[in-house]
Amino acid sequence: MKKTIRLISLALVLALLAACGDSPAVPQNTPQQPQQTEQPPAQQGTEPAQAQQGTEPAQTQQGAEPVKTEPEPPAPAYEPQPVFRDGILNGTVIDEHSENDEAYAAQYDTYKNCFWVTISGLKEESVENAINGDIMGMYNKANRWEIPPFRGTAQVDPKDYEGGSKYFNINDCFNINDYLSLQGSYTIYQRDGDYPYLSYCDFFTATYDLRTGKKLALRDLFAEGYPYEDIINKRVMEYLDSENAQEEFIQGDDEPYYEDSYKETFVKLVAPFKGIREDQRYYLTNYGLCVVLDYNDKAIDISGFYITPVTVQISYGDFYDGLLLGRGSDPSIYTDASKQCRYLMYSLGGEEVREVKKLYEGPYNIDFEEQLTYPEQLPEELLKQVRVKLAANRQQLQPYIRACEEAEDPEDKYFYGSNSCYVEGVGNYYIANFYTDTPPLTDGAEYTNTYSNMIWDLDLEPVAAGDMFQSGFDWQSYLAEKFRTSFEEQLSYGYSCDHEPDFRALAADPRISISNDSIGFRSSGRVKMYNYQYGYDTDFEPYCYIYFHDDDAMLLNIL
Amino acid sequence: MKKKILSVILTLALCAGLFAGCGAKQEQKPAEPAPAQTQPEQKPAEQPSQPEQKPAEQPAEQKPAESEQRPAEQPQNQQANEPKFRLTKEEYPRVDGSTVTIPLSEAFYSKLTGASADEASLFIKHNKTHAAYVNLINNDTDIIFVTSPSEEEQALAKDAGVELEVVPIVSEAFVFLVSADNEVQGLTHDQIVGIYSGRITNWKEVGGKDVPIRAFQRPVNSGSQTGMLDLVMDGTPMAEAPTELITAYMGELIDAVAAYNNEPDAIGYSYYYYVNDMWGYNKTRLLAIDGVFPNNDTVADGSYRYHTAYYAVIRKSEPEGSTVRKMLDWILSEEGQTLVEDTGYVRAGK
Repeated sequence: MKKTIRLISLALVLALLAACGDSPAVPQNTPQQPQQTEQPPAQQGTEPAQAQQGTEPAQTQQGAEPVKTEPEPPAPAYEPQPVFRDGILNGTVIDEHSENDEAYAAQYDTYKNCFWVTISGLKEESVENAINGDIMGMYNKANRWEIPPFRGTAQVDPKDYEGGSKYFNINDCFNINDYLSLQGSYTIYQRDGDYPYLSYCDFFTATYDLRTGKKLALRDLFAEGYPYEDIINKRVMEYLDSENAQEEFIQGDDEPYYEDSYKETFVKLVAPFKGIREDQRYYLTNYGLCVVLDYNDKAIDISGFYITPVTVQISYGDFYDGLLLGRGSDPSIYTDASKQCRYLMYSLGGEEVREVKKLYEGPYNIDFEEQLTYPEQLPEELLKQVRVKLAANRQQLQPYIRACEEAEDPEDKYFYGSNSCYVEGVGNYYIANFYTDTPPLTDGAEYTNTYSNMIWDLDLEPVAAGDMFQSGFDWQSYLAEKFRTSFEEQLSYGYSCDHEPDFRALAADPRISISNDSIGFRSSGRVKMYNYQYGYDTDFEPYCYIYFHDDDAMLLNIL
Repeated sequence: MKKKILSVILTLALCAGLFAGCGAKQEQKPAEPAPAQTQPEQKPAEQPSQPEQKPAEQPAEQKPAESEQRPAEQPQNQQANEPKFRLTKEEYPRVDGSTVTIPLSEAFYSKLTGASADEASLFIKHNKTHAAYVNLINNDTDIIFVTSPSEEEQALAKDAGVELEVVPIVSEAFVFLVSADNEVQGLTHDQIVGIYSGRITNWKEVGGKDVPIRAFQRPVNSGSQTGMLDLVMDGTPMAEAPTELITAYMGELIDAVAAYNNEPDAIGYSYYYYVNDMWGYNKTRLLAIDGVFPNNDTVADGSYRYHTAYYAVIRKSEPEGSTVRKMLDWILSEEGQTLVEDTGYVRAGK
């Protein structure tokens, strides 16, 4: 009996414990896996979807020591993509067309011009035909020359625009990595009235995936779950703030221009901006994603004498690894892929930081200013090097500033000089371009200016001319020969030179420029030449450009 | 027998314990979210001094105006959102106004004529505040939705022999914002004036951290700057604003008033209409003033100190019973004021 009672009691106790305690398999207060976007270096503007939370210690048995667990690494909210730094030019052929309505021009003594493109070169004809059909649809719609539905246009008499100038253009064409993005516009001008004539403009935009023919919405450009709206909204708000869009300024008259007119702009907020729409119009360029703000955005009003949609351009670098654009190209979708070549993108993003200062604060009209412009994502180490170089250039300007102060009657004169640097990212490179400008100190003298640059790769290692070419290639001889060619071209343009330049020496340490589709080399030394047609001296810098579609591109090792 | 009874009892107790163990787990109460903004206790504030205005005589009873278009008997199944006053497009008065009242004006048009929002957007055109006053004075428009008339506009009306009737139709407020990281929840009027006159320069002087205050302003002659001078500073000169060098349209470098940057040391100001619902402003916090936090209620009832209004302004010579007056009466009616709120504004104060 006693044994029975003891067994039952023990079972009862165990049952009671099971009722009061938690299951040892599931810790209390376990949060959901936090979602956090991967933060690129120095990128701002993206917020983690949730702040990371640690897990509470699990409880096994009441009274036992809690077992501490390390917080699990957050699962990314999206699948990181290759950063969009470069791409492949599509194998499509873009044909340009233009049309001038001579009869209209003669009737109204004005202009009516149309310019558009068509594409060819896709194996899948249905995709090609659909895109060309869309373009013709844009053309046909534009040719109705209707006043676009901006605010208040019901009060505009369309007759005022009959006989006014009309223009239709396909303005931009992004043709990379099997994406095609077009932006077109048509503009109609008032027929009569005082300058500036009132005018209305509307945009057409379309972005296609050439592999499928699908017309892409904004969200289709990004990895699923990537918070692209936040990034775009931030840039749109910055744009609106820069335009003082919330403000209406007190005006003395109806003209939009008055003292301090930089403050009054034509883009106004009439209601709180709550974010972009899912069907927000956009287009792609070589520089970034352009979001269009137009009459569909009811929080915005555009006024003035040129009513047009506005665009907010956002660098691809802002989206870091969230963009799907860096997928490369599939040559099999083209009838002829032989013309495809590399194309570099402007790849650094973040807010553009501009530091400006005046280098002279004295009583005279000596206007020496310094500007440093760089993208927010520029690595700190490179920014330090840029500042050192900029300071060195600034020192070189000091004698000029003093000379201006000591000039005869300085209070009656105006001197202007500058020291500037602009930093950008192109493809896998960071480039800092330095420029100084010093004024003439005597009558008849010219401004003098100097250019230089610094280039680094993604490992922050400096890059020189030799690094651009294939290993073992005699690039200096190659550049010397190219410099000679450019010099001889200059001679053919009516210039003369009293000596044969040492092209090899000029090619020893050239200045490098990198753009979307080419690398340029320019001699750091100058050749004195004389223009005998107009009778003036000039300094000539021999140069050469290697375009990525040229045969010489194979000499480069950066592609 | 006793043993049997004891065994049964223990068995039943054991079963009861087992059932309890298999049932629902202890209910986990979700943590209460921290309030985004802590609101100090709202004490009724003294009526602050306001710029001199002569509001129009209010109708004794704010009944919706009767429209001549309305049938004598209302159908019993009249939809709730059918306005009791209606206008055709042809009857609709000529309207004008400031930029910020455009959505309101469009909403009025849409509601009263039955037009869609897109149609209303095409029809309504505002030429900004000053031009709207000029148009009203010159009889080029019938009713305008604007801020209160400036001295210049009052003088223009007087010179033209036009008397203006200025009727508040929307409440608005001038608000101060800080970063959500700032500890300070509210300031007194004296502290605000102190900060912006330069007398108070550190957050610790007003209960915050030992950090210098960066008091951002708005450009000269802007609506916000004018509001600051009129509603807040009350004649006290403002300290120099933080500036930044920018490149103007002509390419030259100029000193421009720096824009509020939402850093922890920053304070800025704007209008409640924008700040209340703008993207990105969730990282800012509005400050209570004299213990009153700005929200729709305190802005509407005037208990928030820096309240102001948007007005409907007509010529006083507008005949009684005219369409313009009927429209104004409707705007002030419950229906009109409900539309004001639905459009994102704050209804007019009582």
